[in-house]
Amino acid sequence: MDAYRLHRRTMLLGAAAALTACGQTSSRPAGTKELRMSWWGGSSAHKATLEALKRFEKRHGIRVRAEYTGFAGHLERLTTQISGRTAPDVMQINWFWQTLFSPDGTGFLDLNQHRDKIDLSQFDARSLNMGTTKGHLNAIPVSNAARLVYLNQTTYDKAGLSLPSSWDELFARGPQFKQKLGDGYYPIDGLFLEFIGLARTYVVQGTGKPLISAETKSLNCSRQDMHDFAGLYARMTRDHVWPSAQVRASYGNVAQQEMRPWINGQFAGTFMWNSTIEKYSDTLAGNQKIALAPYPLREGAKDSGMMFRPSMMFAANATTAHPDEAVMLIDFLLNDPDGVRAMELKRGVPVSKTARKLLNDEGLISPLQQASEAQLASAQINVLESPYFEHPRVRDGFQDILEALGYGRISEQQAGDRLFDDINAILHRVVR
Amino acid sequence: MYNNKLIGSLYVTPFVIGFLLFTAFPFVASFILSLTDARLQDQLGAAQFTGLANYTGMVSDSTFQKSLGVTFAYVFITVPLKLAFALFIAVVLNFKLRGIGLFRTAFYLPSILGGSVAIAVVWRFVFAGDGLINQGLGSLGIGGVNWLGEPTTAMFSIVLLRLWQFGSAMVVFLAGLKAIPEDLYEAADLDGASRMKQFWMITLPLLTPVLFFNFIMQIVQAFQEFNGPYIITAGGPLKSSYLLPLMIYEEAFKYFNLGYSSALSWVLFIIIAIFTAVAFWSQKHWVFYAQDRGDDKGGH
Repeated sequence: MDAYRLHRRTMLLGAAAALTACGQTSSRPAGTKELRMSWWGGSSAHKATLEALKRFEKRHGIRVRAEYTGFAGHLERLTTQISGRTAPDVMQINWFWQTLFSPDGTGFLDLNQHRDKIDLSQFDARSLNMGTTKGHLNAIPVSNAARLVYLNQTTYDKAGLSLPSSWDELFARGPQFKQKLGDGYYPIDGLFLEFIGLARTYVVQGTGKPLISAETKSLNCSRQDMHDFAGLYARMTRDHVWPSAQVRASYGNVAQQEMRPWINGQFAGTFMWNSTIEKYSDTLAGNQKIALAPYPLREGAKDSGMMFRPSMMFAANATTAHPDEAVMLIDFLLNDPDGVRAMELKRGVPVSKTARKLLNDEGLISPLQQASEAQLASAQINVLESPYFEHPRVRDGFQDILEALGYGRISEQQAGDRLFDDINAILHRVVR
Repeated sequence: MYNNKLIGSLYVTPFVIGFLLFTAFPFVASFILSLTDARLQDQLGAAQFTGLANYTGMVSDSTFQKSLGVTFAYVFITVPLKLAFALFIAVVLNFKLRGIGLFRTAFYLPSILGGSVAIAVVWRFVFAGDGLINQGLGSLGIGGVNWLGEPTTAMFSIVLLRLWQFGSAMVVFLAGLKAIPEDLYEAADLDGASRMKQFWMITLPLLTPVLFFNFIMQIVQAFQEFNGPYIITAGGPLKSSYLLPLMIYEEAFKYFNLGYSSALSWVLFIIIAIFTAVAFWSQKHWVFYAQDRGDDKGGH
């Protein structure tokens, strides 16, 4: 009986302690404002952002609780938070996510209403447009990104070949690589995702229009253009320019920069975002070097077709209890010298003019990043792609058809027709 | 007495709360969601009731049909193979040999490691085009196989990942083998029955309750396989390893179709329930329980 009494007392004490712990509030002094900010990134970005938040806290006396993860699972987490109305005050988002969370522009705080708290003059109109939905400024780009052609200079040197400067030269490199270096070497490589981006560029250079129109919920090109899309894949894989579907699949579900042929320079290039190329050059073995190739242009191209968009953006919660403070935090991270110095280049070259100048003056922008920025600045980019191009259902639609073509399950003709019909059908379903 | 009831209730409270929150609530909620067009990024209140549309939509969803076919193939291949292999190893490890404990531990090790993320990553490395197996084949002068790059062999690689986790089924079989009375084998020896005949006439019938248990467990687990295809092949190539749990995950967390994903979950649940029910119904025809033996009623 005593034992029972002891158990009961212990359990009740334990339960009381647990309940007390659950009911505890944070130990911050009463009256101190507190914000929450979430982002994804690698450990160096985490470290830099935490340092910037510490400086913001010191400057403004506003506590900021950090919620950070890797990219995997971040969207699912944020989605659950937004759906459950527990989203942080400030969020790092992807450009495409605006269509998910704020299709009418009211899903995030309208930063236009807080212009006195943020210096918007540091951002060009195009960048601000990409964060604007139906007149509401929902998000501000941290850095911009474009898919550019990056090639392994070391492998090209080994083959005695120059970096291609046109589509035709790129096509010619396939057989040349095979002849000079062997079957396992390719002049350029990437996941289906990268190829879809490359083929989009090819088509847009011909049409001078975005590939997708959100207004008509359809492809903004002809059936013939989709035949060209499929034909490009067939040609590049057949001519040893791009590894075939079977060759790529043989490595399983693995990131390109972690594949052995990328690491040792056999897959000697990629069509990658300039904001993430360092991640790819970092994994190269030995002293191999990545170089930026001239952007290939079709004869009579109506536009560079460069896939250009913010690499990531900062947005504030539409229902935040501290809208002014949330906007001040965004301004601090993007424009304030203290914040900019702490954030460095961990999120790419900043869009903010003042931040860019500061980092450039301090010699922090690498030659590869400078070359990429210069190519971006000189390219004719009049066509801005619809965010729906990045919708997972649309991307997978492209991938499934190209994969079927790559495995010989459908002909080039059928692939072109299916690209046109199936992607249009998908767009009708997903564009709301 | 009152105290005992109170303490007992307190002891089970954590389980009951956990069960209600993490099993019962999602179970009911997923069914309700399956009747709506709920999307993950919207407020739940925005979801529209769509009746059975998600279920009827599967009839014309070629991806679902492909995934269902692949899932059945996976289950029908892995379950019998795994049971047969586990039973074979259990019979071998039941022999009284020197150092048998060591062997039992060694054979159980893969099951401790299981089909975890880390093992799946290792599996991907082993079966990659330039992976361990092809390197081994290459050193013998044999051309490599595109294990992950061809639909048939990709499925084979995933199947093998499940097969190597035969340890838990093996341990249950081993326990079953130990419970079979020695006198039955002695009597069979006296009657001149061969080892093979003893296996078919004594071992296997008396193991059927264990076999039944293992069968149910393996069916349920195989239908729920996720790690292997997710990490090794991402369901490819050509969706040849796109098992239903992977499709459920992608519908919910990649495409945000919470309603459709919930409906898929319920279809998977119903399939597993049907298999389990059929197995339970059929057991009277093939499972031999000890109490069925007349001699057990009066004792020895």
